[in-house]
Amino acid sequence: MRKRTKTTGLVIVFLLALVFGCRKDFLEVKSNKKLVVPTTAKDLQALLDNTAVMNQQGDPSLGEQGAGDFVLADARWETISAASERNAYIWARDIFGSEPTSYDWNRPYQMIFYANTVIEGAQRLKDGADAAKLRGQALFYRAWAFHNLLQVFGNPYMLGASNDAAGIPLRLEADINLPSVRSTVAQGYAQVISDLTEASGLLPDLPLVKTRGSKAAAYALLARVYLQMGKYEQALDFAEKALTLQAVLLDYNSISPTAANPFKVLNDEVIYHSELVYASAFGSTRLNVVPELYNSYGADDLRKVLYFFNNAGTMAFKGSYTTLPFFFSGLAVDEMLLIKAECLTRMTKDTQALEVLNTLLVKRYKTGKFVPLVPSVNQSVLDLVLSERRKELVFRGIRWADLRRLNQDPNLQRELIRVIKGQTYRLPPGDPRYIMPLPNDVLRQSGMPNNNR
Amino acid sequence: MMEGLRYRAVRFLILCFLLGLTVASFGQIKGRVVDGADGRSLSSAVIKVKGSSFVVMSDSSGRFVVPSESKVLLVSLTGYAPMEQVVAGAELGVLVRLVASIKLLDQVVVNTGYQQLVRERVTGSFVKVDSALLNRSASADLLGRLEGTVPGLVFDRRGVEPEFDRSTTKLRIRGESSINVATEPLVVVDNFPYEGDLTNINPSDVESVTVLKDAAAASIWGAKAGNGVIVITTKKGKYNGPLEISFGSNLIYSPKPDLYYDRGFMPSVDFIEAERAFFAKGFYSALENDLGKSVLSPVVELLFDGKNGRLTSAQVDAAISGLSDNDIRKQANQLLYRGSMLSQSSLSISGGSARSSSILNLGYNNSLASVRGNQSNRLTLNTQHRYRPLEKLELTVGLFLVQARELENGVAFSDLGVGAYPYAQLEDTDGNPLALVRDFRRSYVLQAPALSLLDWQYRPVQERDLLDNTNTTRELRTSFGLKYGPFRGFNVQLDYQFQGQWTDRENLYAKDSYYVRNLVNRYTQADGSMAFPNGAVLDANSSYKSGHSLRGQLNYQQSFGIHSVNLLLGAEGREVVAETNGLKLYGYDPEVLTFADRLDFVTRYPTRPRLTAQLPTNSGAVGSLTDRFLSSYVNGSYSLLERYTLSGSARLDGSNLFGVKANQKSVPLWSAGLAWNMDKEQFLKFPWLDRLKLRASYGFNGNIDNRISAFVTASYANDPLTGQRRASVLNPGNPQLRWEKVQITNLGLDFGFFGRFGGSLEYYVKRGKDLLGNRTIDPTTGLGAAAITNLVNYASTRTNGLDFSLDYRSKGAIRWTASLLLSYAKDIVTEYEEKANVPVITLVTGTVVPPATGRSLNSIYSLPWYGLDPATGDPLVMVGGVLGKDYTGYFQQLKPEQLIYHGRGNPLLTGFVRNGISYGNFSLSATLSFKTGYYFKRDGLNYSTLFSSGAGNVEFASRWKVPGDEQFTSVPAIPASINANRETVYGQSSLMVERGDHIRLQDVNLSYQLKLPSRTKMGLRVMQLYLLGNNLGLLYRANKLGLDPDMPLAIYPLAPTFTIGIKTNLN
Repeated sequence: MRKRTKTTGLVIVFLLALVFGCRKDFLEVKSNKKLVVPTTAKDLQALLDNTAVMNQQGDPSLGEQGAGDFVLADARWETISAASERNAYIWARDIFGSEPTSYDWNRPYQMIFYANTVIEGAQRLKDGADAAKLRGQALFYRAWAFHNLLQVFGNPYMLGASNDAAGIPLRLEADINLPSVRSTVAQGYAQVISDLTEASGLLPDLPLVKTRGSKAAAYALLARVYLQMGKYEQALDFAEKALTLQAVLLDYNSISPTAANPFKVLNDEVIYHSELVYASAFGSTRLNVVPELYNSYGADDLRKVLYFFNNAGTMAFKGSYTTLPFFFSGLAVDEMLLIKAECLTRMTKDTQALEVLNTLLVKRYKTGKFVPLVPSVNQSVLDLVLSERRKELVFRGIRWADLRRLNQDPNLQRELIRVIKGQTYRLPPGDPRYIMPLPNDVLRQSGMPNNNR
Repeated sequence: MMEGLRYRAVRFLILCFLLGLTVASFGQIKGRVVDGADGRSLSSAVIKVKGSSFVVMSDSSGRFVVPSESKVLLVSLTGYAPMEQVVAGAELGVLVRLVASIKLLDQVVVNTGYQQLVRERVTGSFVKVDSALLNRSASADLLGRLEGTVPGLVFDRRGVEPEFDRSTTKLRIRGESSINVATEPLVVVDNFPYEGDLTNINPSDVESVTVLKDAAAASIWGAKAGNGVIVITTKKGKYNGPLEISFGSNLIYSPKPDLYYDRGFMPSVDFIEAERAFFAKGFYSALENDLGKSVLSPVVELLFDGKNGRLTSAQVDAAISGLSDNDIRKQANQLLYRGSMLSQSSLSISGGSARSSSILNLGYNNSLASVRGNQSNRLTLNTQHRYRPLEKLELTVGLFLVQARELENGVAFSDLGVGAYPYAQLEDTDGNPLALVRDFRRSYVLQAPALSLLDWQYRPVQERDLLDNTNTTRELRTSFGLKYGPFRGFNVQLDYQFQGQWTDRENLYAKDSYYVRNLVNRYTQADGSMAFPNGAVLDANSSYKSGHSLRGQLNYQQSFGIHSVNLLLGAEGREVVAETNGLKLYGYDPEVLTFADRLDFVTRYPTRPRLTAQLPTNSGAVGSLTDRFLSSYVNGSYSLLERYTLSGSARLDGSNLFGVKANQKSVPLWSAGLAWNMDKEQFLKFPWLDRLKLRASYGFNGNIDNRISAFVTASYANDPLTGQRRASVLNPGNPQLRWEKVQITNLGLDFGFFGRFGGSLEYYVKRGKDLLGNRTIDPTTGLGAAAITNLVNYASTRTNGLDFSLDYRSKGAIRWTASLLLSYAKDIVTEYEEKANVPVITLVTGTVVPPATGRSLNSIYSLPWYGLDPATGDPLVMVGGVLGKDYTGYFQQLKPEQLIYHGRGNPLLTGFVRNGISYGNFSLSATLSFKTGYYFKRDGLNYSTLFSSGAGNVEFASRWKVPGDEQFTSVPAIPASINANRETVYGQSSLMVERGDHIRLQDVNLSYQLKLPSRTKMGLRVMQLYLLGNNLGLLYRANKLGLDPDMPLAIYPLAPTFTIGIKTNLN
């Protein structure tokens, strides 16, 4: 009997041991090998290398749709299924109608969530070098997204003003339970500049792949931001710093004008790769570049044939530095030259400004056909630079921000006009419709105030 | 000997002492109750001493002890004829042989997967299906044979498309109680969860199936039991059983599918009329000079030829009228399909001695599917042995092997693609294969030889021979068991099972197959070089799944006079690893096994007819999933006087739910139950009452979802743009994550009268609690973009239902048997966040309708129908109280309250009626099934899909043509321009919603059974021949269009099957 009790006892002990003894280790095994809780430097880098999130079709394009560089025929406008896209084209007061949510808002904030996740993950890393590299990249991505959101959903940056109008919510932590609060335009720009300044100290000169941030990219974005703020000395300084690191221009003579998609993605001129959120209006069956702009390209200007093609009677765009039908909106060397030129002329260094412009344009005209620009009495150098800026950077998501900036100067103001189904729509300078409303779900879930259009 | 006796007495004494009971211990008579037929020990038999108040029950090995002064014992046990046994003077022991009573209610033992329970003592909801009922049907897979045998078990075939896959049938036990997690029951085979493909189980190997429906029955399965449990028990050999050989064979035939069923198919004449009308309206003009060389139909090509003067209009008309007599279904039916034939054979050998028993089952299936070129076979071997080397020790060993092979080279009607115009032909009058348009225009494809490209035409009839698609499945399951009973009523049990399943899927596209030719041509460069290698393509995927399960369990079962106790305590660990890997080889040569291994996947090549593209990637896929579970459980019951039973069960589950903090991994799930055998009460002792039992139970089952996690999780892939490794956030992290719970209350009444009627009625309430639901979140958090879900445990559902079954069996020479099964289940969502960010239209068009509080999980909504515009025949819509045709504006202003809510998409009431009659050796039976209280949506004419893909509707013939037609028809006129919104107004209107109610003749079975008298020598004992028809058609349907409401969107319904079979038994 004792022996049997002992046996029974042993069995019970064995069973209990089975349940409690190996419990911990046994249940710690990862359920799916492809799944990770992102904690290591490798994991965090992989989050940033997710180009579908960080680089592709993620920059707000509602502005570009209303920036006046293309026109739509009535039938082509009417058949756009998304109300927000039709509304953005005619600068309607209400953009989203009954559309519940908006990619233009969600995608940049998705980048910010990834960036914040990495910033927080990097703080926990033991290896300081890895942590710094990751932090630098993440700060760059975050600044990139904040800056793009400011251009579309925030009030315009007013030159020489205090800029305490509403900007965008600056989410600086990944925790999804934190509330979203709108900060001022000034705070937004300050955040972008501080993120970029810190990032530029942590990033390598040039990136391993151009979908990542680099010193060159951080400088280039700083140049763009300071230009937006009218701080030409700083803008010039950063444009030059960026050009010191990367200055190669594509020679458009070496690019086939008959190719359907002439420019390669991640080409030599690209400093940082990014794309606009796709809109139906961008497709080659809809978009028709405004004749005024198309005609402003000279006969020997290769951009005329490399950027545009005749698609059944209308001029569609094919000059994107990425795979069509998507529009490149990243940073490239040509933009740096144009920023440099604009800053120089604004600092009354017209000759130098023209020199810079000529450096760019010689690569844009047929070999031997380019006549270097010289100062003229008919057109100020600033006009010349701004005209080339519009022509070179067409459909890169820059025009809308430029309009918000340039319309503050009475000499450069322009009113946008569109006609759809016999009705004329106008967008005068400084109009509150230069600021997009917040999407419906954001308003409902966050309780943040909307923009008054 | 003396010592042994003394020892036994001492042991008995100690036991009695320990349990605080005293029983007369001097001068005893020991006895054992066994089955008179097979010598099996019978537990729970009630032994009364005649003329005294002494009552005792036999224990698990059939043994009992009575005082020595006993003279005559009255022994009774449900399912056996009561008997009187004279024991006076039987000091050496007595063997009571009970003879099974031929009564309607035999003693039923149900298997929960952890223990065997006598039905009298169960408190939960169990339904047992024995092998006789399983074998009434001849379905090739086991689960199919359960249809119509278990109340509350419903087969949901709404997603079934017989053309593609039959396995999309979903099983539901008492409705659905989860929103975002699996809703299918757990399947257990021989006491362990089954991880393989259920079609690998040979139905003739199965002894019985038990369905566990409520908490008291299923909570022993804990966190996986939320949707009910199906326990499958395979046949075992019997101790002391004679050598028995049985052989069975079925031949199952099914006629060709009915291609003429599909209302989406328009007759050639109508189709041509539509194409001419579209052409006249200029719909095709954009395609005429399309650089992408989009497909145009033969008629449209002819019309362009006419327009451009290449043909005269008379030539065009003549050519078109030549086509209008064709009907592709005729040739498809002839060339692509055949009647399917399945043969099933099984052989079983079993036998046993006092110390061992064995069984060997062999099965072979061979199937020729209805699509020519598709065929399969399956070989199963199953052997189980039990040894009792010592009285107290039992060892079991089982081995189960399967090899199944499937060839899938057929080209089905739906594989023909866009080119299957009603007037298209698959072969010419001389039997030469003809080409169908497929990816590009015919005129473009025909240029191929002139451009030194490969032949670019698609000839479906030839393709069959150019494919070699093979699926091979091998399965090995092996189990070891040890049961040791050191003393009476108590035993220790250890069970281990290994299950491995290897699946290889190999698709070989021959060099000449269209698949290869198309890729080669598309990537052939201007200089004629082939960027895509001109050779066969091999696409091979294999997966391996292995499971180890180990269980230790203590069982205690004892009766003390009027008390009986049943206790079980155990723990188990389980690991399931699933690994997959795949490879794809281009330029493969199956003769010498070489392939192209220096391909450039980075360069963008110019492709034909235009654009550029990288080569389609051939990278393989690798995956590895590990699921681990660790559980401990306790289960017990106490019965008083065989009348009152109280049961309880509790279980703690842990799993390696990825990322969850360890202390939140476990969830305790429990249940409690009560049963009252009323027929044993004196005040209910009526001669006509055979059985009356009341049951009540309450408890919780669980459900899990291992896709979500408490931490931020991400998954890896390769970034196509940069080639870097990239990670995507799958889950933002939810520290409050819990397992879903299903709370079940069950009330049941089992009854039997007059020895003829029997049945049960059950009422239940199932509440899904802490269900995972999507919660909308401020997109500024970064979770607004797709691919990130925010699932939180907050939703809840409630299902109320009734399960009813009634059986009748008459007596006499002509015997009539009848049974009725009813399942009623009504589910509603009691808490779910209204999805404000889901467009209203998805309530109507969504394949998964978003849940709404207060409505069924499967709701059917539609758009209101306002009729046709009398002037144009366009559908009308109401915007701001005004009828008009502003379709865009209509959908923009659409609010959920404007939609029509019809009701449920799954039946409220499902029932089966089976009637049988038998006379002599013949018996005939038939089953009718019906479903009611639900709706389904049919397809209507959609000009947008008709234009883009040729998918039309026979309604076209009755469309609006001239003003006034709106009085007779609701089918819109041919539109002035294609507008998808306009088509949605009609296609999702209330006109498309039909009542699902129907009655189906499920089966008819005629059998002849020959029983031969026992002889001393081995020989034929039983032979059964039978004819069986299954799925014989609808006798009534509420819809007037001839649609099968079980699968409204299928292009043809499941064909009927006819079986001829034989079963023989030798011993």
